[in-house]
Amino acid sequence: MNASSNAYLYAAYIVVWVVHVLYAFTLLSRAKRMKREQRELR
Amino acid sequence: MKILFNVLVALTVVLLGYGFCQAIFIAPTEATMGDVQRIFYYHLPSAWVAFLLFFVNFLASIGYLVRRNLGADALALASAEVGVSFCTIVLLTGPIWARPIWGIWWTWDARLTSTLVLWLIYVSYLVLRRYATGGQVPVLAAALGIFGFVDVPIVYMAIRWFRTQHPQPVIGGGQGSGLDHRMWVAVLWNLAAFAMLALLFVWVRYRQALAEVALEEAHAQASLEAEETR
Repeated sequence: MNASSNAYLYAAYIVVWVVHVLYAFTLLSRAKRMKREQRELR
Repeated sequence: MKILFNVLVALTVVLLGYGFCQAIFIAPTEATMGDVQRIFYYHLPSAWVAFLLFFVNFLASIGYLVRRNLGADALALASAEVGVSFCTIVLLTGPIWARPIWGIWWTWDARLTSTLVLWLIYVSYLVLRRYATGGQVPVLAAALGIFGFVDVPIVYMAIRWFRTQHPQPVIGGGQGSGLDHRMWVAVLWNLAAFAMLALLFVWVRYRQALAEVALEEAHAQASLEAEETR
């Protein structure tokens, strides 16, 4: 196994976590926006 | 409910950590591909979780059309959105594995093409839900979810029905296929971890979808009251 093949392995694992973290961030920012809208409505 | 959610978050973190250790440190190195084969431990569970989520979307879409239940519609939306995120991972990790093994990033074989079509179907489902207006949007989305699901068995069977560049199936793939049991252990731990993560994401998104409906109704009510007081 050479270093350049390892780079593909690292890249794949990083991509997986970036996608999950980005999605979690989307959920969090949507939750914040909705809380703000709910406060404004009261 | 909050306690249960926090327990599930903790359990998911533990499962993800252990799944990572299984994939990188415990599963044996594949003889011909070497360490790059370890991409498989994230690629395959992501694909199975995406299929499962699209199946949930299919059932929830039928449920919505039959009963016009808001909960079913919210579940359909949540499962499609999380399913697209897992399907995105499948479409990204596949080419990253293919480049060192095949020497190319992509080929238009039946498995890869049908997976890309699957992703496009559910992205269009989300675009429809996000940008279309009018009372019939959930009905149209449900119809798309039901007919779009037809592509899932096509993706699954593509490597059995057609001659493809994609590796042969690890389950029921005939002579010479299959996995070392230690590799199966790594697959199953990561499948459990990703399934738990998907459950958490769907849970949060489902509650948000219901809250969005309530918020829209509250907005409409507020503007109606403002009209009346003028």
